[in-house]
Amino acid sequence: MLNRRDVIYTYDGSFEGLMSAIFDCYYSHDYPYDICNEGNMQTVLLCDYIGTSADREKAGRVMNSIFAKISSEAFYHIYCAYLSETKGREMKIFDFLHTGYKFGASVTNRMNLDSVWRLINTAKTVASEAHLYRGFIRFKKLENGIYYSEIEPKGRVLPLISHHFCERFSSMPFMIHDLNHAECLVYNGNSVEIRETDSVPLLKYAEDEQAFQEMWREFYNTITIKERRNEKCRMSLLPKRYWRCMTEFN
Amino acid sequence: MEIKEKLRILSDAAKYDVACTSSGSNRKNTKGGIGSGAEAGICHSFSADGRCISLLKILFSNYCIYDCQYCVNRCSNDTERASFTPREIADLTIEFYKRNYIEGLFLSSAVIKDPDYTTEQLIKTIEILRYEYRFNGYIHAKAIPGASKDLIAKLGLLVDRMSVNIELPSQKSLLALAPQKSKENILNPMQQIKNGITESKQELAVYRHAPKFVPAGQSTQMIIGATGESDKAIINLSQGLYKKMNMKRVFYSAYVPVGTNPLLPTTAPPLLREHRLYQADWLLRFYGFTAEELLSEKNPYFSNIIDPKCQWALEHLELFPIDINRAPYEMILRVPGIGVRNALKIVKARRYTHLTFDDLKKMRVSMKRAKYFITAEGKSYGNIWLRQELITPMLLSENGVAGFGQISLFDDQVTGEDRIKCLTGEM
Ligand code: SF4
Repeated sequence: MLNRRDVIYTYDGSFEGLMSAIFDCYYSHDYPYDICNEGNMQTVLLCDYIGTSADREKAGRVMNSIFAKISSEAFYHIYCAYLSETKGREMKIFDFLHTGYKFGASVTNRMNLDSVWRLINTAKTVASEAHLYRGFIRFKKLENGIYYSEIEPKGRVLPLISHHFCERFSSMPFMIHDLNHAECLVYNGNSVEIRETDSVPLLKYAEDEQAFQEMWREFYNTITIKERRNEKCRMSLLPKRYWRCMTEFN
Repeated sequence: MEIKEKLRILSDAAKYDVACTSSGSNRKNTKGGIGSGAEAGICHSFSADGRCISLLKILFSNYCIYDCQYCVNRCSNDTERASFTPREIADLTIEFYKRNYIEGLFLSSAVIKDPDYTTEQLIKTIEILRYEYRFNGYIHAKAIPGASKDLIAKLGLLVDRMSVNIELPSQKSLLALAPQKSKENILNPMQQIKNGITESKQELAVYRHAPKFVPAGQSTQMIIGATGESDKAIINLSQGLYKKMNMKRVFYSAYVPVGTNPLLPTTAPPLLREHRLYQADWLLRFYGFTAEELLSEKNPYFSNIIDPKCQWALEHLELFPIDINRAPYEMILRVPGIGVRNALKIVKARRYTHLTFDDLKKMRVSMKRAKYFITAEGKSYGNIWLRQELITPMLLSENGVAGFGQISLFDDQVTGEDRIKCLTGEM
């Protein structure tokens, strides 16, 4: 049994940290008022704070329990919700887990429960943004043969698209730079990692890069059937916020 | 001629083919290769007409020896002409693919010397991609009507999807506007592809490494509004193609006036009609409807005002309202405004609880149209009571026009005048 208490657990912002904080909550039988990233916390009066630290073993035990007692689908939703970077996602995850331990694998079908639809809808926005980026990412070839791309997503989509691009371009070194979250997916043709970066490297493009960009724009513009122009429809399918990083609009 | 120039001419010539989907392939990348399929397909961009761009869609050549009246490339038309070489297309595809512009290639061609020669050029191009560049991305190729069986068989083993376009929905129209293409020239390769797919699946069941023949299935396209067939004739034909030819998709393309033949219309493309046909097509494929249920001899056209599902429901009010907690899945699918995904959500959730209207809202099931057709826990939504003469105006006033699941593209094109006409029964 967990007791609802006016305490706020803080964690370091990492997924491992969040899982460890949840472990600590359960360990102390606390149903906290909130779980906050210690990096951007606002002090709430009348609340106690409990700091936690990321711990591989604790996090591992929580994750294993999700797979064992709920389902891998539930884990995927939790992870996506974490990546959403939205306010209040930590408690959505906590509420969902609490419901999940009660109902087991069937929890993801119970979309009428508040704790369930709140979490799954949060997760889905990130998952669908990640899906769009599989198509909308544009690489530019650099002088050194690396294919470089910039994106500005709302959620942290890199972990969700990494596998897709590494499989598809398995022998092509590439980088996908998330400017909004200052992280960069780097694949060298063998192994992949996500690095924190806050600077944009000086980019020197390959000689033939410009020519292919022009051809792509040519193709993009020609393929439109003018008699069928429909801006509204394009806008809803390809919102303006993606345009800045897409070759056809530069 | 410069490649860029060719690209402009030959993508311009290819743009009227509407198929641009990249779904149905789960081809894996190979060691040292490049590319992979994505089962659900991926849109890489959207053009200003709102259509998905997924494949590099080009013609190998637009020097055509035929003279199909509805086509820009007909030999009697005065238009810029160009031809690629196989290597040019292969290189362009790879460079575009590496930059993630595209999901693969959609290669078609006008009939250059004869159908066999043309098909050989397509094969050469795709062989460079598959063997030399070890390209595992999506390839959709057009089977040229009249090409020999051997060549079609060879092409089928290289690509993910193949299509033979029906173009005109009846033999009469074909005869009048595309006299060099016979019905047999279209249906025979279709039948051959269908058989090839079936055989290949059987072989795969026995030998895991048997070569795959057109693994993402075949599709076709019909031009809408160039000739006089009714919606009913078109939807019946589609149903036949899905059943008899195991078609993956039938595409509909509103005729854009490019011809000068007096038999052809010169007006703007009938976009709303095309949209209705897509909606009906969806109903056939995913909602368990048959063509006969949707349209009758008496009423062979879809409404301009409401989508085909609404139209059907209003004609069958005796079946409604249905109880959201008890009705079978098949019936929930038939409620206007409830799409496949929401229907699934409902049947999953109701296993554990009695759903109320509040629950449906939380599950993000839109009540806009559905509310007239369902009850929950014995109650109707806000005590709405069901009578056709009341529902129709209400549906209209809430702009519940067009679209279910798919984005309603053409709502704004239904003018006030059309609405009034419909209500007074003039249309
Ligand atoms: S054969 Fe094809 S390209 Fe040639 S005129 Fe007919 S439809 Fe057009």
